[in-house]
Amino acid sequence: MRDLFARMPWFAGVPLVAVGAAAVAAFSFVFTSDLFNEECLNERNRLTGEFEASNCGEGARLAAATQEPSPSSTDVPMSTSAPSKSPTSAPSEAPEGATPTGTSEATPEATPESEPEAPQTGVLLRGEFQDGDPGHDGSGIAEIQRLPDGTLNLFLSNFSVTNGPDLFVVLSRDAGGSYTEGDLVLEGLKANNGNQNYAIPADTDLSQFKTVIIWCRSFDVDFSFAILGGTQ
Amino acid sequence: MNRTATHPTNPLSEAAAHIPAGAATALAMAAVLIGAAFAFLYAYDQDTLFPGRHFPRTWVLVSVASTVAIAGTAASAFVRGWLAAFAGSLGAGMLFFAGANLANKAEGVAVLLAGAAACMAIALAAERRGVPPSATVAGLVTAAAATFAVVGACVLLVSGNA
Repeated sequence: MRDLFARMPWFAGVPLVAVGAAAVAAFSFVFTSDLFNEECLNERNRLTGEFEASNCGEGARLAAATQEPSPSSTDVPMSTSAPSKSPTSAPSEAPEGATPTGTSEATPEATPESEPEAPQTGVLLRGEFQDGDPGHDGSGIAEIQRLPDGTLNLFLSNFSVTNGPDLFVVLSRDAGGSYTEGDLVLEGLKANNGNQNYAIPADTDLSQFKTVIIWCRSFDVDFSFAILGGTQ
Repeated sequence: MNRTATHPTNPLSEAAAHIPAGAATALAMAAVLIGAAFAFLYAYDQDTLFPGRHFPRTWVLVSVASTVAIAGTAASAFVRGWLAAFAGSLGAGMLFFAGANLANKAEGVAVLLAGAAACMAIALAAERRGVPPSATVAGLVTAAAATFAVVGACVLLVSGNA
C-alpha cells in the first residue's frame, strides 16, 4: 500500500481516500447509527384526544407537542371535544373474544332505528410488548382502536424498544410474534420510545392478526411483539 | 525524492507548505478534544432525555472512540515518521467514524466534523514532515475497522438501555 499511494497522482489518491472514508461513514450512518440513537415521540391518543404519560422526559414531551400528525392517519379533535358517542355494536372484523371497551357512553336515542348501526368506538384489542429476538427488548402497550369516524388506529403507549435500522410496525398472523410473508406492514416506526399512532387500513380483517411486532426489514429481525387479546 | 516538486499542484502539499507540522498537530489535538466533548455531551443528553434510564452502548462507543482519538493524536506529537501519521490518523479517524454513528443528532454531527478536521490536520502534518501518505491511509482504514469492531462488540455484549 505504501508504494501504491506514493506512486498514485494526488488527483486520484486524495479523492479515492475521501470517497472511501465518506462511503464507510455513510454506511455507518444508515445501518448502525440507530443502535446508539434513542428517539422519543409523544402523540396524542387519537381515541381520547389526550396526551398520556410516557417513558420520555419533559424535553421530549414538549418537542412532541408540535408534532404534526401522520398524513395517513385520521385526526381526532384534540382537547375540547370528547370522542363521539356512538351506539354499542361490536365491529364485524373484531376477533371472537375481543371486548370493545371504548370511552364512549351509549346514547341509543342518538341514532334513528332506520339507520344502520355504526361500529363501536373504543379499544378493540390490546397487548403488552415483550422482548423479541435475543438482544432486542421491548415494553409498553399496543391497542387497536376504532376511532369515532370509523377508522382503525394502532396506538402504542408508554412504548419502548431497542432501536435499530429500518424498523417497521407490523400486524402479524403469527401468534409467536415472528414476521411471516403476507403480514400487514403498517409503516415505519416513528420513534423507539413514547406514545404513537399508526393508521390501519379500513378494510383490514383483524381476526387474521394475532400480534403486533416491531420488525427490522433489512435484517429480518423481530425486535419486540405484543400478543393481541381482549381488553379485559 | 521531493514529492512536492513532483506534484506541484497537490493542494495538500501547498497547504502543508504554509502550516508548520507542530501547528497542524496542535490543530488536530484541539479538534479531537472538541469532538470528544461533543461525543460525551451526546451520551449525557441521551440519558437526560429519558429519566431513570441509561444507555451503556452509547457510553461504550463514546468512551472508546474518545480515548483512542485523544491517545492517538497525542502520540503523533511525541513520535516521528510513519508511526506518528498512523497513530494520529487512527485517532482522528476513530472520532470521525464514531461521529458517523452518532450523526442522528447535532452533537453527533459535530463529532463527525471534528473528526474530519482532525484527519485533515494530521494529513497536513504528515505531508509537511514528508511522511508517505500510506501512513495516513493505513490509519484511517484501521480506524474504520476498529470502529466496526467496537460497534459489533456493543451489539453482542452491551445492552442498548438499562
